[in-house]
Amino acid sequence: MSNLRQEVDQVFDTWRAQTPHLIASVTEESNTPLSITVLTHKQSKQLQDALGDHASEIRITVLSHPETETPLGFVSPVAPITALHTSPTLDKLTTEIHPQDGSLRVLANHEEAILVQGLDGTLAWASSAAFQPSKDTWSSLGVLENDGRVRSALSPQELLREARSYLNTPYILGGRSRKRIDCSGFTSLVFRDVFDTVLPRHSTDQRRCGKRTTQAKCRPGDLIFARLGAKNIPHVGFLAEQAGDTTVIHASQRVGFVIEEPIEDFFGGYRFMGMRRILKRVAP
Amino acid sequence: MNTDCPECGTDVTAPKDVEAGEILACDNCGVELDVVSTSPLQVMVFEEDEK
Repeated sequence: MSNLRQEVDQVFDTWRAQTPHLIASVTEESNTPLSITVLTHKQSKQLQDALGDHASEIRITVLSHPETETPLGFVSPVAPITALHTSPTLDKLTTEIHPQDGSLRVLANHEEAILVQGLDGTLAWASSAAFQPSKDTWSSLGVLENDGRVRSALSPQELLREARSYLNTPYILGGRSRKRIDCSGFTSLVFRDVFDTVLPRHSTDQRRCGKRTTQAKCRPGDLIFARLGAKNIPHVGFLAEQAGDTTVIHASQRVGFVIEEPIEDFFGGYRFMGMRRILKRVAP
Repeated sequence: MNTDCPECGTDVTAPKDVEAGEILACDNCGVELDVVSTSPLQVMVFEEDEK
C-alpha cells in the first residue's frame, strides 16, 4: 500500500472514531489520482491539512457542495413538521422542516434513514418514510441576494409582528416550529414566512449575512448576536422597540421560551457579539 | 484602528466604531477574531464552542 493511501486511511480512522456514520470513500484505480469523496468542506480542509504536501496528489470531491451531482435526487417532507436528526439512529433532534421549506437533496442513505441537505445549510438524517420524491429543486426557493440581504417593500414592523406571534413558544435546541423552537430556527422561520426567503439555519451562518451595524446605529428588525455566559455559542434574536424602549425578541435558552425583553435585561444574561441588517427596504 | 492578527501576524484593521465582543475576520488568513477591547484594540482568535 502506498504511503499516500496509508496517510489517507489514518485520517479516515480518526474521523471514524469521532463520527460513527462517516460519509466518505476512497477510490483507487491504477493510472488515476487517488479520488476521495468527503461530506463537508470542513472534512476536505482537515484531509488536506493532514496530507500536507501530498494533498495535491489526490482529488477531493465534497458531496455537500451544491454543484456536486448526487444521484439520489430531491425529496420533500410528507408531514407538516418533520424532525431531522444528527445521526441515522434518529435519536437527537437537529432541526425541523416543513413543506414550505422546499425540497431537500438526498446525499446518502443508511438502512431506513437518509442524509438530507437543505438550501439553508441543513445537513441531517431523517426517516426515509417521512419523505416523497420531489421534482422541485432549490431553484424554486427565494434566497438572500449576493450582498446577503433581502430587498423588500415590507416594513420591519411586519417582520416584528410575525416575530411576536411566536412569544411564549417553548425553547428546545433544534426546534423550528410553533410547538418548539431555538434561536436561529425562530429567526429563519420569521424570515421565511415574511419575506419568502431562506436564511441559513444556524446562527453561526446567520451572523455572516447582511450588513454590519452597531448598537448606536441599529434599527428595529436588525439581528442581534450574543453569547450566553462564558461559552462561545452564537445566539440570535431580533432587535425591536416597545413604548420607545429598545427590546430584543428571541427564543431564549435562559428563560426557556420566546420572549421580548428590554435590551438591558437581555444583556444581563448574554454578551454582545454583533449586529447585522438583513432587510433593505425598497419602494413598493 | 489596527492590531496584529494573532494567527498570521498580518495587520488587521477594525472599523472605527468597532465594539467589544464583535467578531472580525483577518483578511489574510481568514481566521475569526474576537474583539476583547477597543481602546487599545485587542483581539484573540475566536473559536466557537459546540452546542
